[in-house]
Amino acid sequence: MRFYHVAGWRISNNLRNFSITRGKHSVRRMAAESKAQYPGLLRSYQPSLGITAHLCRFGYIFTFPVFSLEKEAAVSKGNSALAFADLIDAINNRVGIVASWSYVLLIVVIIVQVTLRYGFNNGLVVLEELQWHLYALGLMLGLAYGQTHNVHIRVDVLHARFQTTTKRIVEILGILFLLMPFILVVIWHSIDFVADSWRINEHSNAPSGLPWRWAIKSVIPLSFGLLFVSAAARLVREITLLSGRNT
Amino acid sequence: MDINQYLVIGMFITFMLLMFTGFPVAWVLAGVGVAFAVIGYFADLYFDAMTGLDFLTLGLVVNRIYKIMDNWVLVALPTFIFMGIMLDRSGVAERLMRSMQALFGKVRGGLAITVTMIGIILAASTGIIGASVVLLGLMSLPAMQKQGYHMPLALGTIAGAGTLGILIPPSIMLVIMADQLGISVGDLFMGAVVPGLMLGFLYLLYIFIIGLLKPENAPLAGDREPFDWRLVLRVFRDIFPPALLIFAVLGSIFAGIATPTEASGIGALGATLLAVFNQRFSFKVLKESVEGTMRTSGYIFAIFIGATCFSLVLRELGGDEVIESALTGLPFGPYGIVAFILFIVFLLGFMLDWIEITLIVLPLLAPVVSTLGFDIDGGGVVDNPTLVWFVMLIAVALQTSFLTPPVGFALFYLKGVCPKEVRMEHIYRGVIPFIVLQLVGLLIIACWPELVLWLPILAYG
Repeated sequence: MRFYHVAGWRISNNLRNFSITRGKHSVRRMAAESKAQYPGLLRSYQPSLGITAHLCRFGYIFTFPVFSLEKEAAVSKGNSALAFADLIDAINNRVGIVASWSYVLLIVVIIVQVTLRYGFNNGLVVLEELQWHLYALGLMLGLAYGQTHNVHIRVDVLHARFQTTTKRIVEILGILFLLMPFILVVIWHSIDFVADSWRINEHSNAPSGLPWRWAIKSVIPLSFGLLFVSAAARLVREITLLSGRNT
Repeated sequence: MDINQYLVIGMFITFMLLMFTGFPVAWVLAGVGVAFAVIGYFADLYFDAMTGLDFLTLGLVVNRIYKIMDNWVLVALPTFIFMGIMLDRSGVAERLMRSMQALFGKVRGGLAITVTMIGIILAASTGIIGASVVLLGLMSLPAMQKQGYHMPLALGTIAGAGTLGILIPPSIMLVIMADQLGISVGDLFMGAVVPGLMLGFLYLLYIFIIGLLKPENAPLAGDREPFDWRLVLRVFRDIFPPALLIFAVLGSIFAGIATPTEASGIGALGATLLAVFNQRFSFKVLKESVEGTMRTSGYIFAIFIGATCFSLVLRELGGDEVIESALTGLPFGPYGIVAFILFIVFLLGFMLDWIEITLIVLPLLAPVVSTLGFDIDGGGVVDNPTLVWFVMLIAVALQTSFLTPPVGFALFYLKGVCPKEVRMEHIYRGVIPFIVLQLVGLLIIACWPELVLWLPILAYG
């Protein structure tokens, strides 16, 4: 199965996805409900939705594939703001997926290190340092990935009962007054932090450690930059949808 | 009270209020930190406060973020998360379920016993309560329903066994607690073994007794297999690989052979091999596990980063002294203060996940407990025996709070996977005996710290 992403449009050429299911709820309605809340978010790119058409008749749901766009792509169509947000999300998603493999590399490095140390009695400082470098890479880039996928923990005792409009307003105000200031403070100060390290060409404290300490330090502004655009995409999306609702 | 104290209290209240708006907790923490740095700065200018906060001080947050990145202890965290997700996908739980159910088929409450045992054995995969409760619920509830179990008993068992995972090592909660309090991960893992098993044993005892007293609540399976050596062999074959994996991971840490990070790497490899062995492994499974690891560690570390900003500002405002003087000023005596702390943690557990509590509250409380002058015997070999004991109490209190109606986390996760006819009241009624068991366990640990410290002393002695 292949998907093509073009600025918020998602096209699929999957022809094997035909199915008939029986259910009380119309898939279409369920999809519409969830998308009314967070249209266009990447997590609604579930393979079972969007790339297929759903037809509810006689209590059955006919699902058949079409060469078409996802529903949310249709929302984005003609709306450059949403298309822009989709594009940012798609980029962040891709970066996150690539970065997540640093954890696999981490596991491999740990195992190599263990083998060297216990098998050949010869652990390497470079490998020890590589471990936390890989871990740090995954952890920092995971922030924006988590933001894009909307997985950050919320206390939803009240949130779950809010109207969609209220949820959007919470999201907009929160991003503007809580998240954005923090990101800007971190980016501002981290640039000095990296620059200092670059100036002295900081090296690992261990003589045989990794060089280029500034490289791992520059992950801070990089990842917070990604977090910033991810939050901005969310902001654009919420504002567009909120204003679209009022008009 | 001077202005700093008002600011400290204001900071906590603002956090609590904003948290309830449903905006991600991590960003609420970070944003409140930044906002109070600004407020502190202006308070210095106009109200003669002595916070010393300004834009430059706030910049220390970058150094603190780097400290999280450059942290040898926490490297084990994503690896343990990967191990858990992989174990989940490896099909080990289903196999255990099938074979143990056959083994305990003759005992009343056999299914409930099976669920508890799986909760104990697979605690490794279930460091995150939501995941474990969902897994156990999906796997065992239909079978229990078919066998005609009394619903509250079935639901209580699942919720209880599912939450055991946050206590029984290798638990990611203990890794984070060890990092925050500067104690060794190995000590905490070892300390948690006896309390965790004891709670599991209390559960089993309760189920067994119910089976005797109210046989109609826990009926026998209609289609149980005859007990013979083939069955024992099959059970052994299913239990052995995951048990070996857990023993290898924990044993190498306990014996001091491997660091927790090394053990977690081996565990991750082992879990992957188990998936291969069970023919569940594919590139797709690997990819999904990796992305799942990224998401889970993403939200955990987001809270790390938000909490580091919050606690930086809180410390600058003198929050530590405010908390310490408030607690030591209580007229309860050392044990009374610990009981009070546990009660607060229990209440916080209603609203917050263990991640936030561990990262914000625990570092504030632990120094207070260290100065209370408990004379906990670490056998001269365990550093900080008081803290190890205290962490176990906190862990059990948290676990209890996740089980407690009306807002325990585990209950909502469980409700999410129940068939429609199961009502919230069933779950509430079901967990009450388990809450009582938890409180009994908590009391036992509080009275006999030797239970916590026995294994570490044995390992080092």
